[in-house]
Amino acid sequence: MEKMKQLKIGVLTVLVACAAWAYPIVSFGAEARVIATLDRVQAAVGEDAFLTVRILDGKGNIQAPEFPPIQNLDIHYAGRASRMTLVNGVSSSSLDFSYIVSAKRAGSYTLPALSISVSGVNLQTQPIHFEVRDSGSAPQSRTSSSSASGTSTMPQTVKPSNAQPPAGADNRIFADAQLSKKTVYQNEQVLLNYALFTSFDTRYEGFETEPELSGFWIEEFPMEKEVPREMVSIGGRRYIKAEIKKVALFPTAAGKYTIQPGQIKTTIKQDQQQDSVFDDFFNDSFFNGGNFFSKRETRLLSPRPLEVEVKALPDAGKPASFQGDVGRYQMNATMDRGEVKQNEPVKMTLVIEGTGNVDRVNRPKIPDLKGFRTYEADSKSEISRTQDFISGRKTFEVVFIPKDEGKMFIPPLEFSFFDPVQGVYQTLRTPNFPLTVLKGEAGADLPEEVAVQEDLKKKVQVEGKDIRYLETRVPAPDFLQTARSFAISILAVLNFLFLALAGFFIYRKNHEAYVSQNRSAYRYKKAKSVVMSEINALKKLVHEKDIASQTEFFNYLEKSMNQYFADKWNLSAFGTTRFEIDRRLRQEFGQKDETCQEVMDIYHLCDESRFGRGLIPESSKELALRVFEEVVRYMEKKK
Amino acid sequence: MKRSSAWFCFAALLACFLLSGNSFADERAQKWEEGAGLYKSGKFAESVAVYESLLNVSKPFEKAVLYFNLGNCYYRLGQLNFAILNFERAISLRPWYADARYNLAAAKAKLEYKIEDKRGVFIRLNSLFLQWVNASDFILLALLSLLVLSVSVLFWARASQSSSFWTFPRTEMVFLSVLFIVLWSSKLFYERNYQEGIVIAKEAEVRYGPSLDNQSLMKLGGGLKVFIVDERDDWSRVVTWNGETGWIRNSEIGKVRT
Repeated sequence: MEKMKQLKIGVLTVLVACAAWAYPIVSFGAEARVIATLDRVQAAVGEDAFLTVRILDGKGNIQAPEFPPIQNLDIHYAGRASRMTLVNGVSSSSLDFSYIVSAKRAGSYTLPALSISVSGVNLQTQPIHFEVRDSGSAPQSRTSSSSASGTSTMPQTVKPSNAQPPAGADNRIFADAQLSKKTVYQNEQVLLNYALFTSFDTRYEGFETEPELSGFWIEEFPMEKEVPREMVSIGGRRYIKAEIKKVALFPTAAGKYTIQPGQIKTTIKQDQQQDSVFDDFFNDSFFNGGNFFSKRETRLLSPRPLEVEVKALPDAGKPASFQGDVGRYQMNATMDRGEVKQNEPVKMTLVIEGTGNVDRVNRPKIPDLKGFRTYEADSKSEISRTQDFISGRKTFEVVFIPKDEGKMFIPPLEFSFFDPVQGVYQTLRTPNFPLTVLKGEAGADLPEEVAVQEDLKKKVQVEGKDIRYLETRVPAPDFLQTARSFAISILAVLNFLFLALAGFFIYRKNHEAYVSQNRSAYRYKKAKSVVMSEINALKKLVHEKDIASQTEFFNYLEKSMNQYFADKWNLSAFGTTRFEIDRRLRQEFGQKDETCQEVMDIYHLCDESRFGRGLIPESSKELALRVFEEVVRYMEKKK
Repeated sequence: MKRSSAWFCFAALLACFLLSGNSFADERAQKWEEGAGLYKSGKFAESVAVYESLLNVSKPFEKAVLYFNLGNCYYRLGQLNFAILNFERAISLRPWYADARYNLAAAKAKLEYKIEDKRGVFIRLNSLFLQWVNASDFILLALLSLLVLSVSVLFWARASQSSSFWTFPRTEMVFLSVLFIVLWSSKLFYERNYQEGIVIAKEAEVRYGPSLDNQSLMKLGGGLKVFIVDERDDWSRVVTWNGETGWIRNSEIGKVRT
């Protein structure tokens, strides 16, 4: 609270002091007066004359006076400017209102007296006479200029401009891009200028789309804080012209180029009063941001594309040392000493300065010097952007290390460039530097301090770019594709085989595991296939007529029957008794079924053939086999 | 007598076959050298004619090299669109062809127009990766991993003692096989659905439909790459890298995979 009180007292003290200082200035001021002056009394038809209405020592808010319409005479308001001076404690102020007057027809005109209200008092200007002649008549020099010049910050002249708004664009605001030349040599500087023409309170927001400048080496000029602006007239309309961007272009190759200048973003103040932009010319929004609370509208401005023709550098007179540099240069060379010991470095400093693409200036070629080792050391560029040109200096350092003692010379180094102004090649040469080489340390080679300095070593550089050479050797027939297809086929087959083999082994492994775990089920499942193969074998033996075959048949039949029944009922093939077989068959077929007895009869026949006298009829074999087959069929069906 | 006659006939036929093949190879080699000689002497158009005649023989040289040489000739003739087409063809056949890639970059750098690639990051990375490998390379790699896998499975199946299947190298080989098969499938998918084409006209008009009655969508400069996704009569539907799609006349576009 205490602090607030102190602050209020401080503010009041400052205000009182200001009032006390201002009082004598105001109180001793003279009475208000008004003067109207025209910068010329005669003009041609369509020619602009500048009328200034100056109010001296006027106070308060004074509105710009308005002229009544005069036939065949156009009077445009062109803005205001104020000035205040203080001499020996006496102040004076002036306020200028500017007008542009132009006539449509020749004749004699009178600009009427204007009435201006200043602090409640009506002041009047004097009428002004104005003669207008035909445009073919000799021009009249300006007769009066005092009232229009002075210290006013207002741009008082309206220059005609050749810029044109792009077709279809709003002609109240537009951007224009201009090239300084339409035809240039390769690597010669051409200036690209962007200007904004506006009738609004405009804020420049930068580039929405950057210009397409492929094929050019670019050096941009920095924007000055106070951007040059002027008032211009295009087709009878007045604009504020502001230069917003300046770029130096260096075309890298010959040809015709079309530059797409990009798109510029601006915002304009909405609800703008007519002519207010001219009143507030230096308080507009171009660079101070304007009033952030006012409504603004975005405008994207696209200048027209530009065309430039780039000429190739002439072949005639091209020196051998020319490396593509274009511009106007001077060269200066110095040696750091004239006397040196063997194997010690001596440094030459080459300074190339002038106008052109300095940063890209090539180092003069250094010939292989007998008795010297040469090293291209450092290089640095200092670029300056003065007015409309890129200039500067590039410094190269070359290190020479003499190998032999004696009196030696460093021969002139050549630097050639093409001067686009004169259209000729120029060659600059360094002087022939004498060098006294004293005897150094015996057997000394490259000094270590030089050997380890990486920047003293020669750098391998790419000198040009081109495509790689075509294949001249006759290539082998296209075996690669065939070999690839063959390899794919072989691999596919091998894969199939290996996988099939692996599958087989896996199956077998699983099968063995299954069999070992489910022996009875396996035997039951396999019984049919085993017995069927045996029945087939028996069928072959049926038709054999001799006794031995008969015995063999019945032995085989008994063995097969035992095996089948044992497999089916999970019994031991060797320990199966006929009683057990009979019991189980009766369970299968039923107690009273004759099949059981028939099976038992077959067993008797088997015994008879083995132990009897061989009196079994041949037909019994077929009968026994059929009965066995029937039993097998029945049992397999039953499962 | 009969047997010796049969042998004689067989030997004569074999000699004829070998000699004819040899003379044919000599003829091709001569043409190749003729093309190189014409190129050296700056007769690039004549060199193109010679190399193009070699493309049509039944057993040509490795086509990638032929396309590379053709690309060089067209580059020298200033026909960048055809140069790019041929370099692209060489690379599609031999993805690791460094010289062709270098020359393709040099030719593309000279183009007046470019298309901004607005495809998704994943698709861009995927196509970039797939550019460097042939479909047959993928299948070769997949088969090799499968071979190692099947041999390993064979040993595992034959082993008397049962052990876990999912151990080295079977796990790794299963992974690699699946990976290569997936890559091979995606390469095949890419090749079948996105046939690459190069604009061979100096300036081709892309239209909204496959006829001159349809409105023009945009103009494409020669040498630009597009994807052909459909074909109808004399027109191809193309998709540009910035996602625009339209129809272009077949005579104004060259397919990379012939």
